Amino acid sequence: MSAATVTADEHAHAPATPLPEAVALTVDRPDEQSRALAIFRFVLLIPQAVAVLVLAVIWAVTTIAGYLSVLVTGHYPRPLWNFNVGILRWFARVWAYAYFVTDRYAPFSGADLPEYPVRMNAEWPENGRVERWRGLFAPIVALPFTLLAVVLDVLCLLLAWIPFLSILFTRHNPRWIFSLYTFTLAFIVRATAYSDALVRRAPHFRPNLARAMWGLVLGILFSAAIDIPIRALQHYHPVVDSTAILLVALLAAPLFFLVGLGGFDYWFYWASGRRTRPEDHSGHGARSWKDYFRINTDHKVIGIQYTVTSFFFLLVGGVIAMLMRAELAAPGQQFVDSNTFNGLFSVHASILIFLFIIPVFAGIANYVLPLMIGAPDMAFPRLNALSYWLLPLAGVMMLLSFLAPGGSFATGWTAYAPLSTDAPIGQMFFTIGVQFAGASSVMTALNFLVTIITMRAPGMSFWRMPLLVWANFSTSLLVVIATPFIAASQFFVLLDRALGFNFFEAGKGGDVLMYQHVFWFYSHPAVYIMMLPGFGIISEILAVKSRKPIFGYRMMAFSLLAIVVLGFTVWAHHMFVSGMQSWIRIPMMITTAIIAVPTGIKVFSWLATMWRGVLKLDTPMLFALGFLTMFVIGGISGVMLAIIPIDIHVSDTYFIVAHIHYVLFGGSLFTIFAGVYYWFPKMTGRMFDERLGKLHFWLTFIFFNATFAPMHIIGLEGMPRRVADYSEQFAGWNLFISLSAFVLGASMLVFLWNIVSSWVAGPRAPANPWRSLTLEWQVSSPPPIFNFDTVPTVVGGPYEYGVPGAVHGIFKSPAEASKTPAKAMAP
Amino acid sequence: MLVIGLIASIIGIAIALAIDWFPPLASKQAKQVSDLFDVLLVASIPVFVLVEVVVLFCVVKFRQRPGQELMDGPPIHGNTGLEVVWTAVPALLLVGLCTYTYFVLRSIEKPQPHTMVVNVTGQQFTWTFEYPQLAKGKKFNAVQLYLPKDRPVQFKVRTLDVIHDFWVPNFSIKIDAVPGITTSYRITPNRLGNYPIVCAELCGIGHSTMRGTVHVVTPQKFRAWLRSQTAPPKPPPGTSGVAAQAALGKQVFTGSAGCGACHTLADAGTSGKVGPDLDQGLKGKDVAFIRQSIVDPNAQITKGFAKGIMPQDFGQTLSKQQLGDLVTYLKQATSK
Repeated sequence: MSAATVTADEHAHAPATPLPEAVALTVDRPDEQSRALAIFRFVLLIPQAVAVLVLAVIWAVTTIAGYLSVLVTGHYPRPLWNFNVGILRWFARVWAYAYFVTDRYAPFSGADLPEYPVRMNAEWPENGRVERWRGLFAPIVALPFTLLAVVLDVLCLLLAWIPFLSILFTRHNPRWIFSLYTFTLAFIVRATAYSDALVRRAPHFRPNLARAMWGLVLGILFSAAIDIPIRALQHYHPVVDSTAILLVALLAAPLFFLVGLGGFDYWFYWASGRRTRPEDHSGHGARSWKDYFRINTDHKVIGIQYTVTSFFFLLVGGVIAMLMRAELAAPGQQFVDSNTFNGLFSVHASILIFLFIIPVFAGIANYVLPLMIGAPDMAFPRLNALSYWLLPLAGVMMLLSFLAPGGSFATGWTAYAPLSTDAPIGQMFFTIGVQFAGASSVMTALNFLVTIITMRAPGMSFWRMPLLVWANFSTSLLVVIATPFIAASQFFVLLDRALGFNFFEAGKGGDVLMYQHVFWFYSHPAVYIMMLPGFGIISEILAVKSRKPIFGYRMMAFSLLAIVVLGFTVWAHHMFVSGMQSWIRIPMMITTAIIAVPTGIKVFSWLATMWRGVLKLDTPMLFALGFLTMFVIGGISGVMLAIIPIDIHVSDTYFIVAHIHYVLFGGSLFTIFAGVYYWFPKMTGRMFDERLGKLHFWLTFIFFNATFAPMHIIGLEGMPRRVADYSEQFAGWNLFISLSAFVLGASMLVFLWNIVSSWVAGPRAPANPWRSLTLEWQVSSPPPIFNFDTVPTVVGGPYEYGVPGAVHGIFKSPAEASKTPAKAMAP
Repeated sequence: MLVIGLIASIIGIAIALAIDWFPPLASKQAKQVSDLFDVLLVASIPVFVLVEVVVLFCVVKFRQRPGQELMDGPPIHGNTGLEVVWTAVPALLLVGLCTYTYFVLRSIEKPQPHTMVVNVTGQQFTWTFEYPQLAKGKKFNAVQLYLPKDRPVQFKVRTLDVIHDFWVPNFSIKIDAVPGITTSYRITPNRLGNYPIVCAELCGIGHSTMRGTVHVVTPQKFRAWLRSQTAPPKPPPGTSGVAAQAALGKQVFTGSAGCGACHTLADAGTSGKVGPDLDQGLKGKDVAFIRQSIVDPNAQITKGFAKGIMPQDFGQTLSKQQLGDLVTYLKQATSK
């Protein structure tokens, strides 16, 4: 099935097993080592030290001769090659002796001596042919390895007292020290040979987190390497400025991290004309927890990576909220000063928007969507893996901003200029972090669009797709069109701040309001990006739990598309008091009000879906019902905000905070909880604890309302938002809100306990615990590694409940399948 | 279900209309906005009640009963008529609301005759006001905002640094202060009293403390205040020399400089908590220190307080005479 897609073109693809190391090093582990030698080693080393010094000079000359030869003739002369390899061998044996790896004195020779415990052999390049460019660039290309070799060497030097004392007292070198030192020696020798153009293959360094961390270090060094010379040439003082290097590193280091992780390996190999490793999906599935920390192209693994990472950031954002509410519990300053508080609410919002809500929907869809359309994976699995790994980089960057001099970014997640262009370096952690999060989002959306358009199972027309697929299709359209605008707005800020541009300098031809227009042109569609997938989840859950088809399926799909289109026409409702031209306000009010119509259609359709159904009121259903209630309240306050004079009064007050939390927490987060509980059996193969689930729901529902409902009141009364301190008159409500918020935060622990304990030891889940018709429930829980053993054929709609014998998809070939006509759908 | 819904809506609307959501309404415009809000509540509550009643009814009536575990509901896919209704009715409702709003907005923003212009300047972290048409061209910068009752005002709002927002909750209108442009709005205060001015756009570390007070007074009191701002300061009768200076300094402290908004000083009867308590902070300090802490506040910061919150341009906004009098007053008031 999917393994058969490996191309037969032998020249394009590398063999399945990698080639061995170009330089072989074997070391015999000694049994006992001499105490006397341990003490007198350094004296005995002196003759070899002299020899090594002399040889080093000779070696420099012969190595350069080698480079020149390669550059001019494209060949490495054999005698010269043998000589240089011999010198390297000599050095290796001296190193081994000096570093307590062997007690046998290093011979004064470069020849290959099989009886000596340290044996090194290099692979003569085929016919002596070495690419010409290596004559000039081999040392540069080898830098990542030679630098690491230096680091390892220094590490061995610093730890040398361990083998010394160990041999002195026990006459044995601990095994782990021996392994570390032989590993280091091998790496030094291989890196050096590669750097000297003696061999054409770099030392093995498998792409994994360790290599990625090393990439991070190289990225920082690279940033310094380009920043310092440029500053010197431009006469910027001080020439070595840590803030400037940091700024470049924020852009470069994450990219180096991804290269180290192997995220770009395939494209690098392909672009350089070398043999690529075929994607035969043999890496699919996760056999241990370690697989989740590598590049993995299985959409199910990526889905879980996304979801777990996102929930980690939910916890971080939630803890920040607890700190904020602790400070706001009473007027005056208690725990944090103004600057820290401003940083707290800025990071709170940024983390929860870019690292929780947007990616968690991507994660759930990543897992469920291909299964739901009968596909073996996403259209672009490698891109999928890369898009996941961009996310922790963005999140760590935003959190690290707290350690920056001057504090974290403190201009709100909206980062208005000129406050953000004049801010300390912490601001840049947001400016650049958002770029990585945005890139991740766009890649995923592209992937979804192509997958949905091209990889649906036979028989699945657009009008037979489950609404979750429609919802993610619509969301992906929003993402690919809108996200470049927030990237643009942040690039403007970056350029203004780092290079002295004047996009937002009022006196120099800049326009402060332009930032807001460009920013909100993304950030309004962003709120639909954060809601539409949730709508899809609710449609799935309500249909299954009411045992009824979705009412008005076609209008549900059209209303999603209507929200996508209209979502681009309303951005300036965030700017009614911004001082923009006053005539824009009226059309924006009208478009904002109109968006309530397709949203209303969805709400009423959901209600009609439940009507006369058979309602199973378990945890996912409870969250879906809770969502309906909370989202209607959020929607009503939203319509109020469309009305210009009301918006003018409550802009930038706690009324807005109430509205956004009703739609994002009561809206999006409730759908996320519903979806996680609903697909938990499919993703983990276990059932969660239903009683704990219900407890989680009720605690959340009650204390969510207790926390955020009063905010409407204090906002109308005059309490502004983004304030560390407030007027005495609001003290009572703020205390009530803070206490409710603490219980709300605690209720998350119930959820965490349920999920973790069920994942580890919950009862095994059947393939289809909810008796759903959609395709993902027709395979085992969790699904087979390649999803479907037979490609399903879709013969009917996804919600044919109430029709005895109706099916959505079957697992016969299309010839054998007899189509069940989809029931006439209104209108 | 209909009956329950109707009763719930009526009760809900009654309660909502009875509650005073807005702070005490102190302008003509605020009353119109508050009325508009009431209209929105009347429109919204039945919508919410409708949705909730249906949800609760479904939960009660259609829940899965024992024995129904494998039962499905009827395969109803839609109903054209119903879908037309629930598309058209909200659309019409919203068109109606938007139209009504348009007229309210026009009424709120209509230019009035006899409008007085007040220039508002925001800076990190205070407001200053200027009355360009009054006082026969004698310029003065006020830190307090005084307005006569029932006189239409147009605020022209600017900023010296970043974006701020000039908002008086009791007036209900607000507008951002944006670098590079002048924004404005019109208001007619119609209730006597003192109301807070709040900055409603994040502007830095002092955003939550960037507050002021607007005093809506009778026209006579307003004229008297104007005169006191533009006339040369007169010491209270019967005092002379240092005592006179101190008395004038007290007027600066409690009046034009508005120090009491942020500082506690027993002698002046102020209790601001934003900045250090002057009774302790200036006790025993010499005149040079007091002067520096006014004109260069960031030079020495009291423990527990932050840099960059006290305006740094009092050296310019106060005249030399005012500054001298103020220093004299503070030395005297804190050495008791």
